Amino acid sequence: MSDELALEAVAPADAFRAALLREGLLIPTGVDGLYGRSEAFEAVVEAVDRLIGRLASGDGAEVMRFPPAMTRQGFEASGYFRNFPQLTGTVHCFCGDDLDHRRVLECAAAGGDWAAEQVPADIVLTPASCYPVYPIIARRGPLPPEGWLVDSSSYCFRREPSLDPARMQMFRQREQVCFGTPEQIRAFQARWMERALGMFESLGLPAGTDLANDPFFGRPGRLMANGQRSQRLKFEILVPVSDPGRPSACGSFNYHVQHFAEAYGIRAATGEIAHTGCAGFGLERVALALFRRHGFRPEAWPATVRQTLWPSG
Amino acid sequence: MEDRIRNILKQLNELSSLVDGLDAKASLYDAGLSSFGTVELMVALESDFGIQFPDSLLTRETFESISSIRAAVEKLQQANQAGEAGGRKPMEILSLESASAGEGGR
Repeated sequence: MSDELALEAVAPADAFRAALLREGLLIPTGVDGLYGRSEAFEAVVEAVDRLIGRLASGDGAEVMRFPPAMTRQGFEASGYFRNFPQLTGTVHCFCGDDLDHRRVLECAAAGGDWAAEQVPADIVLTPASCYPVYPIIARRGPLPPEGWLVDSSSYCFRREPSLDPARMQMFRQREQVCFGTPEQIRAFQARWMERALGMFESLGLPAGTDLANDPFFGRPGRLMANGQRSQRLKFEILVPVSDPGRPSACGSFNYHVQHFAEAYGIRAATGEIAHTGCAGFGLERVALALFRRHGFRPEAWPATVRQTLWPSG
Repeated sequence: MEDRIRNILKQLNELSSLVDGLDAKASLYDAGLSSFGTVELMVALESDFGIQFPDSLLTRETFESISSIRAAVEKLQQANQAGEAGGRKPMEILSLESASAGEGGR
């Protein structure tokens, strides 16, 4: 894409962002992609989260909720830094004594870099809410014969500062993670895509499905992306959010083959390396799509949409 | 050429013990080559042959089998030679031929 086209594409997103800030739904922090959320915005995010919970309710998935960080060891095993160094957010901490502290403060006062003394901690920011799940499942030993399902959620971090409010640096994901055979994962992927399309329809949101690839880094990344597409491993559900002409991925449905199971040593009951998949929703994006489509006042949204989000209300 | 490619494949953990028994047209993916392994293979081939795969060849098809790898490497080597002889950059020549190059591995 040329720079000219990119600039044209930013304009509608910028206008939508300005409106969200003006309405007080998002609270600016001064950093692109990092926002506070208002009460009204949070009420919609919570309603979307609960709606997804209702879709999953018959599955018997094990619920796991995580803080927005995971173990560095688990992160390194995932291969995330190998594939997405540009998106990674690490946590660094001060580990010195009084003297080191004084030296750092003096250095900062003299215009130096106080952060130069920080050292990598044993945690990193979570890139996707399913990532903390894999090492936990691996530690439990072989899967039961029928496989396993986890319902995970956390704030996630991706270093991609943008004026587009649909591209936040910190956002929440609600993900279902499936462990089992290739057939089980493909069925899980198809089941959740169907559920998601039904959900968007009941929310009055126009949604389309498309084959997709992750934003793998560099030249090896081109090869990875090509492989992901030609094997039809990743699908997204796209909904208009910031720019009606360029819908954003609000749901992502992935078959990892044995990537995570191999990385963490997750085995099926038979002892073979298992297969995994995940079906995730970007909660802020779904909320933003609703504000975009139905207006900035949820109390004025169509009754059917309100009934879907707040069934008792 | 084929022996050189087989030697590179033997350096990959995923395939090392299987390479000798593999037909040149057999699928390396069916033999156990993962997506990470494909990236390692690409890097090893570039380093060993002193070539660089253009974007149009960074596809799953290119690394599908020993014979598809051979076709891609030979194409790149020819493009390099033509580029040196004619003063044209190899990438320019390849971009002209990229459509057929992508099909070469099927």
